[in-house]
Amino acid sequence: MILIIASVVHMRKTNKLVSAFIALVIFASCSSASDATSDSTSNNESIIETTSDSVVAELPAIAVTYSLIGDIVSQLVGDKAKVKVVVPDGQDPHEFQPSAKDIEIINNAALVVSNGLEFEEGLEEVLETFADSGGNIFMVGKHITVRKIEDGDEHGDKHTGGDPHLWLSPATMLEMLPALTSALSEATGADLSAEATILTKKLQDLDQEIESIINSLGECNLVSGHDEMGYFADHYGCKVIGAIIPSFTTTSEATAGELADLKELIQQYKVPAIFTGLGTSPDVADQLAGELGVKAVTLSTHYLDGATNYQEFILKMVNQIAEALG
Amino acid sequence: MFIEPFVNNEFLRLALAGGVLVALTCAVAGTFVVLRGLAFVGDALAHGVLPGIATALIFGVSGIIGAAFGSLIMMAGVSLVSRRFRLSGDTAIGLLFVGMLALGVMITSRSRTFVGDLSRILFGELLGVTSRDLISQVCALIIVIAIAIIARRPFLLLSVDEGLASSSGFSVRLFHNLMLTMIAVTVVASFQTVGTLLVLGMLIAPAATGALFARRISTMMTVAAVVGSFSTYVGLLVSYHFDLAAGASIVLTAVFIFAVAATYTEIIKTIKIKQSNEHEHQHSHSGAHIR
Repeated sequence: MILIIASVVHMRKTNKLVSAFIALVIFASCSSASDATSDSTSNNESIIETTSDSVVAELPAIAVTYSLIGDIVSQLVGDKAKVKVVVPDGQDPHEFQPSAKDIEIINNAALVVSNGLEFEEGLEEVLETFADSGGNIFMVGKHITVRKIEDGDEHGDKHTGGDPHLWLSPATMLEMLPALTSALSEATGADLSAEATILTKKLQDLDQEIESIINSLGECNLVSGHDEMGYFADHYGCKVIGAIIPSFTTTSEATAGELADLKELIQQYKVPAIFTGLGTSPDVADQLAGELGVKAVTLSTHYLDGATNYQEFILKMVNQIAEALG
Repeated sequence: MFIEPFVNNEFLRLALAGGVLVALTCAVAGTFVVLRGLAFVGDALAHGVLPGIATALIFGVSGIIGAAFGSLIMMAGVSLVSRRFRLSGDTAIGLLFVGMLALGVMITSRSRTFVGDLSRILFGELLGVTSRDLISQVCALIIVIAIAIIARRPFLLLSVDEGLASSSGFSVRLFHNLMLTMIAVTVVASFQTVGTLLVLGMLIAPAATGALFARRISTMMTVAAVVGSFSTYVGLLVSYHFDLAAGASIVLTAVFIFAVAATYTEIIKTIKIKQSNEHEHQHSHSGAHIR
């Protein structure tokens, strides 16, 4: 801050300094702009491509809105289609705003696979336009038992519609797998039944493994960043105690009243850890955890985060939960 | 009801402490913002820091450093554009303002490593204030008060009339920039608590309320400090009892207090005018009688 004062005083004295400074400014903004551009290029490069370049042109393109469903689609189609993920892995799909190129990818796809439960809020309009103009779209939410919260708690309830965090339970993924397989077969013109059988087996094994891990825990009480663990908790017999942002989306904000309520609940249930992550303020979580003397654990729930596939992603998450609660 | 929430929750006590410190800092800087009509610059600074914060967070540096750099760029840019290209000050400010804001949005929307999203920078994390944040806020308060004391005479003259300041031997440009620096320090330190968007409310609303009542700068600052601190307390209670976003509740309370105060002074003024009118009327009447 003293730096600012000093340079303001200097600025007045020498216009050369100002010019030099502006040059620096322009350079800095150019370089940060190019950073942003190169970042987005690398994002595009990192789009999961399950095919070799030589046959790209002939393969049908499947656009998937985010990486976790994207990986399941990739495992199903193998090298029979080109899978493109719209939201770069690591960004918040709740808040993602598409670029012109993203919209082009969606519009040129033979099939678009989306969550379907108002998950990708920034893509909603693009997907709607695509569907209205006769585009082929598969909404995962239409093929599962949607989790809903009917009763509002005494404070203002921020839950609307169904819970979009359906990928956090492999059982829910198994539920929609047959429908997804036939939609993909139709779009690609390929027989995917063998891949579907393999993936079904893998997801069933995963389901068993998670169940045994969670069962080995005495109690499974979950406190999360936003209300994201519902499908997982329902299926594996955990209890969702609360969330820092009690909403299905990260676009809401935490309030003092809700935080105080959550604090009481955490004490009442003696929850040993708060799971935070994308879209939740780490400061708020740390502060709350510190005040209660519990752990704050960062959990990746909305993107692969370095995991090579969906199964690895879920197992990593479950192990983190087990370690924190055990 | 009014005190227990703070007794029972450390995070609310920290939020209150952080908010009051912001209110005090803003009271000092805001008084000059209101008197000298720098609200637009304040707004521009508050948004101009956005790319700085975003870039700093991407590189894992403290957001405050990024914000300081952003405000520096903003001030230098405004000064250069308005001086070199014969454009009015507000054109220069507007130009830089939208440019920096757009740059900030661009960086936040395309970075995969970005840890804090846009809304958090804009609206702050009052409920996640740490004791470390409080220390930097105290530093900012000290710096702002120090600047205000050292430059109180030129600042006062500047607020009244630029010509008066220069004829008294003060460099208008130097002290104008110093005043901007003071506002920048306030914005940079406060973005963590109330966010860059809402810091403007804390800068203007309490000081404007002070301007309604006070003639002296010190009284104005005192009123602003009281209104700002009280708004923080009320806003946090509102957020606690009605489950509303904390930062927005505080600023809305401050603006509401201004509205009530303004209405009150208007009513008083109208009554006074009426009384004096009646008084004059009687005079002229009696005058007619004499004639």
